[in-house]
Amino acid sequence: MSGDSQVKAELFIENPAELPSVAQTLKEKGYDHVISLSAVDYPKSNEIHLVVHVSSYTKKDIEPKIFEIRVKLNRDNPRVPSLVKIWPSAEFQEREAYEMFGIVFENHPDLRNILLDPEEFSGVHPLRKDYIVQVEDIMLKLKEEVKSGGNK
Amino acid sequence: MEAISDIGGGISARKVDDKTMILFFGPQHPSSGHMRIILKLDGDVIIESDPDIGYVHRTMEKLSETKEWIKNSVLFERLAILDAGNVTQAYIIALEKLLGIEPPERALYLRTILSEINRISSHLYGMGIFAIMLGSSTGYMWFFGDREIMVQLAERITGSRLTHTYHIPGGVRRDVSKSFFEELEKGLNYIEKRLRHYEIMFVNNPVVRSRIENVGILSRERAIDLGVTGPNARASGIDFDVRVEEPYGAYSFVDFEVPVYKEGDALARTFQRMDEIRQSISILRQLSKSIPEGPILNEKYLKLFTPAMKEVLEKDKRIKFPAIFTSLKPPSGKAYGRVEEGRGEIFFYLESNGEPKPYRVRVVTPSFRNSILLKYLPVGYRLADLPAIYGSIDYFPPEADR
Repeated sequence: MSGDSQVKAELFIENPAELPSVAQTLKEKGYDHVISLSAVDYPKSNEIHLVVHVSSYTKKDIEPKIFEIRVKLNRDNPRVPSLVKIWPSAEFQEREAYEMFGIVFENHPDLRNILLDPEEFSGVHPLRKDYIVQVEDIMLKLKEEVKSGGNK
Repeated sequence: MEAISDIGGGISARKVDDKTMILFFGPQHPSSGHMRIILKLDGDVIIESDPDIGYVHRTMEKLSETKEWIKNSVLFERLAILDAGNVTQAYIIALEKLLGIEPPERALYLRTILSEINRISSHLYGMGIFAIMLGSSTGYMWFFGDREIMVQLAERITGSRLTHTYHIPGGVRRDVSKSFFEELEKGLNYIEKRLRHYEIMFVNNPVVRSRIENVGILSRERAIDLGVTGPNARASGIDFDVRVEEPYGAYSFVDFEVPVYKEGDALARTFQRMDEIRQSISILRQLSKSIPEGPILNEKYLKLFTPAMKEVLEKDKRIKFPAIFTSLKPPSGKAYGRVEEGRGEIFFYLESNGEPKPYRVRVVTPSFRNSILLKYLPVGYRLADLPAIYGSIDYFPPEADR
């Protein structure tokens, strides 16, 4: 019950090209599926970190239970080799990271939007920190309309 | 490609060549919420399936960056309102790791009681949807009607039927009275009796059984590769349950089995859910016998209570929030929380930079992880099998789209 206050294992990869070989080693160790694949945006240092959490169904005694991999990407052109060949469970989550952060996964079999409308969100990546959600203040608009003599 | 033509019943299709046709299944789905599957059919055999999800995407991860930590628990429980207790629990567990606080034992028991009540009601909901997809309206009415008992029991604990907002950092929001456990036992006895009826009337009904047996077979290797989670994984022979692997709440104080099936078809997934309800009943009985007396919130927070708050806690057995809760500032760092929800593992990853609002919240729901099945599982089966496959994986679009 008393969990560790921090995620124990963390592997930080500076060069995205190293990711497939690291992933392959982890898979051979027993980490057989991806729980989460996403990213965190750090605009101040112009970086995006790809964050992958993998775990194991087959090896019960594996430690740590959830292994975290972080990959440093260039925010201007985030590209990283796809993990789908090693972990097929990454397929949909890579599509999500692609639309939400604009990360391009090289050699992904089917890289396109999954949750967002591809027309409305083409070239726009909502989970980046500089994406500001447009607030539609209906009540405010109504007030202004009343002031200017109501709706035409 | 030719224009889309309406072929009746709101279903549109387009012809690719003389043999192949593309069929749009959804998004106005009659039973489970909005999503569609774009199917390529050869005759009535599915040769390609492309789930088009996101119709109920509510930008939860982005939205959570604009709200205070405590307010986010109200946001996230809307992922799956019928399983809200389990969802919030995962978020609160991660938040507690950041804050370095632990709930007292009675709170752990109460959390687990709510978790298991939620699990039963989530399974009954899933089977009800499954039944109506197969055209068994009796099943639908029975499962939904009986689920009401579990919903009302959850209401007795938390004060609300679906969006409970029961978990708070360091404890729970309300205590229960002694009479609650009598009602719980009554409800469990009823569900236990009804499980036999479901088997006779629904699962072993020849019409239902012939539609789900040997349909949508998911092998163990494939389930591991695709990272399938929850009852769907266990029905394919994966012996994995977060409640056992990384125990939280009061699961380390009770004895229970994790049912596993080898077959991996829609029938096994149905039996899997029924067996899990049996285990939940047993867990709930053990918990209600052994629940200890004591505080429901960590002492550290109780010390902050004003005399008026103490009086409310004494009299009504409920927590009035100390003001500090609205401006919680967890120290910089990261933490994860995982919980076995009714549909499988829910995973939260939180990153704090010491501000009153999270820097980043990542949430992966079981339905999102299982949505990959909609791409790979229907291929090779007939169009008429699709509702059986779709229904049997208990896919819940609002939870998947987040």
